[in-house]
Amino acid sequence: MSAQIDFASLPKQHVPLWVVSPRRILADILAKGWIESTIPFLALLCVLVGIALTTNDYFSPANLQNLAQYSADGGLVVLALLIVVAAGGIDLSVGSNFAMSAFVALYCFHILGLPVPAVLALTLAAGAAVGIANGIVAGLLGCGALLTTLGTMITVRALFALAAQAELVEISTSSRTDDLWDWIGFEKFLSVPIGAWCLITVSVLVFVLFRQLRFGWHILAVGGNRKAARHGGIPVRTTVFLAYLLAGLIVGLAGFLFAARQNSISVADTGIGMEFFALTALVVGLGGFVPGKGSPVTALIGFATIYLLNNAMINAGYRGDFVQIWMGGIIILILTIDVRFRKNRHRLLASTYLDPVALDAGSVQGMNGLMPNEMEPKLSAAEILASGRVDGPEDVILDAEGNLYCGNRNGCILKIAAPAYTDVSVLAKIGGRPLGLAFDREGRIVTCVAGMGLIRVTMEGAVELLTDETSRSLFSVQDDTAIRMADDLDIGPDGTIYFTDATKRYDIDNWGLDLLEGRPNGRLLSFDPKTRKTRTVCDNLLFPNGVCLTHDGKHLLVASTWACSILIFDLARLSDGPRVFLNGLPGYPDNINRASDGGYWVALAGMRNPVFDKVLKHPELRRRMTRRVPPTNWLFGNLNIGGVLKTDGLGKVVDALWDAPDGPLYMITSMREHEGSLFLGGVTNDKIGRLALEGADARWTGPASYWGRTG
Amino acid sequence: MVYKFGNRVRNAAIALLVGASVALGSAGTTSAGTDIAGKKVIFIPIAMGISLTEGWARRMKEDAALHGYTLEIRDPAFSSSAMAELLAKAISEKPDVLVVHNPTVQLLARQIKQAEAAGIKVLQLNLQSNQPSSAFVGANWTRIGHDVAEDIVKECGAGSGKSGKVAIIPGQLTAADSVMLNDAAFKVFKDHPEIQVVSNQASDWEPEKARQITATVLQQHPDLCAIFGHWDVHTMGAGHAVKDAGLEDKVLVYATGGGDNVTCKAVEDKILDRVWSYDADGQGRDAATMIDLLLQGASAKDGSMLSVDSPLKIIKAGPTYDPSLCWKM
Amino acid sequence: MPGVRMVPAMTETALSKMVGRREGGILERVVLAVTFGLVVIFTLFIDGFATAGNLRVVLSNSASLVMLSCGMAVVIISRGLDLSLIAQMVAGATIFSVMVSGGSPASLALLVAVVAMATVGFVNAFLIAYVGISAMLATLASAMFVTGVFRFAILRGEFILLLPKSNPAVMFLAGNILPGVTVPVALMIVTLVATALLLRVSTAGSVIYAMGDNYQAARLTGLPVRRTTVIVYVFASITALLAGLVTSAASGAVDFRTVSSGTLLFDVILVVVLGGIPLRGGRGGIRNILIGAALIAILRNGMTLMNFTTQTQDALRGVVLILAIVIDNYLNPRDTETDTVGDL
Repeated sequence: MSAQIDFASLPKQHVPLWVVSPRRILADILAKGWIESTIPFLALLCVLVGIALTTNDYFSPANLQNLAQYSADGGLVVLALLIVVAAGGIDLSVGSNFAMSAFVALYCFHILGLPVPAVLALTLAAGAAVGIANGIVAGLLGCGALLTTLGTMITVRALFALAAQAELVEISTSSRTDDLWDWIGFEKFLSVPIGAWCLITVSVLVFVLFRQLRFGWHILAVGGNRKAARHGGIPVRTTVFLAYLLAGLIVGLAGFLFAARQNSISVADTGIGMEFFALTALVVGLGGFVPGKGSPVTALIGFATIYLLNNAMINAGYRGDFVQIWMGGIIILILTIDVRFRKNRHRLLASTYLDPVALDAGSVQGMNGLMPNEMEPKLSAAEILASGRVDGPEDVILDAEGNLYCGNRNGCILKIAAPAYTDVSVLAKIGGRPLGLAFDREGRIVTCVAGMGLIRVTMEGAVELLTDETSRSLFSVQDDTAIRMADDLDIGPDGTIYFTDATKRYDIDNWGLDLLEGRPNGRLLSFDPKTRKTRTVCDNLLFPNGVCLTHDGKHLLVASTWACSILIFDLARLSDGPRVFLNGLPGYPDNINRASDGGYWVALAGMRNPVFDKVLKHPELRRRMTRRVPPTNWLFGNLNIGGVLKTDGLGKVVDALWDAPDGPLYMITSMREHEGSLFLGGVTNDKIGRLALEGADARWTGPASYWGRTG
Repeated sequence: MVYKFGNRVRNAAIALLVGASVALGSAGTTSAGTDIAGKKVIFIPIAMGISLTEGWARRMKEDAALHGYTLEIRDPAFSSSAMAELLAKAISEKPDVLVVHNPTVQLLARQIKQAEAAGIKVLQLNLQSNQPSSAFVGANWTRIGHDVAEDIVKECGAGSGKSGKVAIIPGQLTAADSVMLNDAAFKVFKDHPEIQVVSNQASDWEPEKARQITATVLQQHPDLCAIFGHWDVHTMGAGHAVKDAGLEDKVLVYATGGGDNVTCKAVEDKILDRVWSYDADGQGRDAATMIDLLLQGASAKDGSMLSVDSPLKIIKAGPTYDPSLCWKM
Repeated sequence: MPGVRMVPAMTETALSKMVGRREGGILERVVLAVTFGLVVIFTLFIDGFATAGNLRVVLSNSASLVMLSCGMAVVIISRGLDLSLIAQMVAGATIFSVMVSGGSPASLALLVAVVAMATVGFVNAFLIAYVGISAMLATLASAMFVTGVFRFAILRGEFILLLPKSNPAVMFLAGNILPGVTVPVALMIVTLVATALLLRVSTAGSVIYAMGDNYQAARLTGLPVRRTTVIVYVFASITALLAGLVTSAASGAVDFRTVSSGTLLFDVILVVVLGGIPLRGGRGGIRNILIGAALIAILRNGMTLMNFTTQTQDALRGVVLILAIVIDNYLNPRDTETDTVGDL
């Protein structure tokens, strides 16, 4: 009974291969996670370039080896501090601990004459002992970290001085040498000094700790929010204790390396000021004092910046005062830029994210005599079902028995039993925001869930995720594999599910902003249940919304909401791209569904108006508006009051169902015909409407239309 | 009043000249002036910005300008770890002579050995490391400690009619020079039981700390006879405390130092009474001479160290005071 | 004018805290008791401890420490931290000393030093309040910068500046103003009074307590937190300058190594914290400074009289600090529900 669609004669719809916009690229880059460490990274780059330009042989292999050898212990101390800071503490005692560990190493080596592995073990134990003291007071007892570690810093420093004072002369005069000791202190393995190998190993371990290990995640959780971590069942005090212990161990290792290399300590200044140096390095790397962040790479970038800056300047022969001015000034500068950048990043992101272009949906066509002011509001005759008991049924669907199903805002699929339609029960709890619905051949519901993807629900209520990602599109800065806003779907005769991802850039909460942008941000996807493969059928569509398989099963109708048009794909030749099935609609089309007479129902989520049509043609206006005017005062498209259009099988509008000005079904996003009635749902409605259709086939049902009359 | 040269100094100087002439002779070179032009010397002090190192640096720079070799000064600003790093970089640059100012006897020993092994001649200043190197220029701390202690015994000991109470203010109890000064002094005091050391607290080289320690000690021991400060700069703090207590005519304040004119000013102001000066200016000249010789290839015959023991000047308040013993920047 | 109506109510809570009716007073009572205990023990066992002369020494030795503590206390009460205090102290003394030694009148030198130090304090406050760098980091970096600039520009790279004791300005600062009252002690009293006035009487004081209690709340209620931050840090700079003048005149030297060794800075924090001013801010007054300073000064004096080495003294001080923290934590445990990460 359906008319033959002549695909080839329809006008082609241009679809851009990719969308390029400098502003969008900027916004996408700003939204990247690594952008946080841009400023420290740039600072390091500047320092490196500066050094390379002003010195001759600073980056010679010999000096690089020197740097690797002498910076290793400092780098280790920075990592130790990173662990403590990540757990929300601070450790001022690292310098004293470092000196003490170096002393213990020398004492064990020269005075006790122990073998080197035993020296290492005892040194690590000594470092850990200070960590344990810190951990007990600041972790287990829960005292303030700054004061606790200040106390251990003073005490350990004094103990170090007393001990070193007593033993230093003997240590200085000891003549013990040991090949392993010298190897650790001076030799290189694969032309990298041993100390540097230690630093590399520890960095990797810390990296793994924070990325992969439960304990690392506990540290980050405690540092991020102590209260939340405690409520989440994490043993906060033990975690903090262990963090200090671990830091103490690492500092012990650093002290050991120093002792093996220098074979001596200076009571006057070994480790003095180290805590402030490490703190500065950490802060330059992390861009402030940020607990709950464990990234050894950025911490080491900060360390490298500070260390190289200082080292290059003193090596260039500048005097101490001059070096201090520059160090202080440069650190203030880096911190200032970084703090300002972090503070303004999301502001910049927010102001560049919305990136409007001119959009011209053309004039309204083919609506002669069908506009709201030209005819009766037919929807006022609708009967209201389940009023107040469904919250936001974006799509409604009926099974062969006439039971009604819809999604709601709580993420459930509801069943409203026929024939009374008063009994509302939960079929399945999915989560997310269920939107479009369809029955597959086996009588299961397949639904598009915004924020989740494509979900299949059996009549028993079992939920199965079919897909939540597709392949990444070309030239995308941000990873767009995730299906952000699955909107509507339909199922082809071979079982392939065609569904739309309405916009890649906005979530369900602010999908309306996509209208202000007016860019082709959406895509049509397909999922083959047999191979379980997800494919992007057509990218860069303008808010692709409703999907409907034509009656002949050979074409696919896709509503392009902001373009006020309906596109058509040929299932046999999907790669040819879409053609225009219908355009110049008076409103924004949402779902499309089959009608019993071979035509189609088109829901209009909202009506166009000349003012906003004009606004859409001026992107600069929208950009200025979104930047300068509070959102409540924005000029916005009408997405409140719509209606339903009826087209024939070839896309000619033949009827329109409008609502009366006083309701009751304001915004219509979906409608299903079932045995002579039309069921109407709306994404912001709290009810479902039923309208008896005159002259409709009273035996026609959706499942039968798709899958034949099974029962 | 110039202190007489010790025997060792004389011997060292002779050895040095002999060694130098031997080296020159064997090399068969002609003029020293042209020979060392363009060579490279790196000087790493403990810190610049103190009169001692600035005084040395001045003389060395003059000498470098005169003879046309380059002198680079790298300032670790009192950080011994920075010093170790600077030394490592300097060694990899392979200068002809490396001048280091040891902070302790052990800290730089390994690197001095490394440098010597790499063919760099290392000149140690003011404090000799455990590790011998090509040359050493500096004061003999043991002798200073001994002489000061002897003088204290003379002034405060038996027969002086004074209490015999002495306060020592080291820079740091473990600093090598402090250790040597104290060892020598205590050795002298051991033979004189009438001398009683009532305080031996380190000032961390800071005048304010020395002042506070001294003020407190003077409360307990107003009959204190002498104070032995290990460095003139921090001892001036102690001297101020003595002056504030009105005891400047009763308590003798001893110090050692580089002997620039600030020291003489302090002696004039009765802040310090007797200063054993190792004359940083003269040391600078000695160091410069030694650099010249090393650049010309000088070495001791048997491969041992060339060593110059700095002559001492004693700056004494009283009728024999002579401001010309101090040097001016 | 809602802002004005709110201040009296806030002053009331602030005052009640200063009077010590709340739980914050326990630590200071313990410290006070320990101090008295030490005085008794030292009097019994150390010759020359309980004499008028020794009291004078204790007072003038702790004058600069108390002055610095006043500045630090005000900063900490406003929930800040000033790690550049010692650098400022030395820098201020440098300007004054260089000008005085160069023959300028003392009044002019003082004026220039005050202006310079106020500028440093303002820069600190600017970095903290306007740029938004956290107080610890901003002052850590500025300490480095200030030390470098003053050594470079004024001392031409020298670490130490020695002052002639014969200079009239130096003699005045080190001498007596009244019979028995030295200028350092007089300046200490002036600083204490100024601190008390700032905290108790001025409007800024009320804002300082409000900032310490809850910075966000203070900001959101429209209190001038940025301007108050400037006042706080400039005040701290001026106290540092006074401490610097007193110290340099007494010891006859301005010594930049005081900055790098860090012990004085930690002593200042120790005084403030042991006196019972929590690092979280919001409470405490000059009484706390006096209590903390009394403990440290008496401990230092007694141990010096007993000829303890500096290291032993340090070790004991560290242990005292840790004990105080643990006792405080035991008497006044943190509420784990309101415990946030920012509280170090």
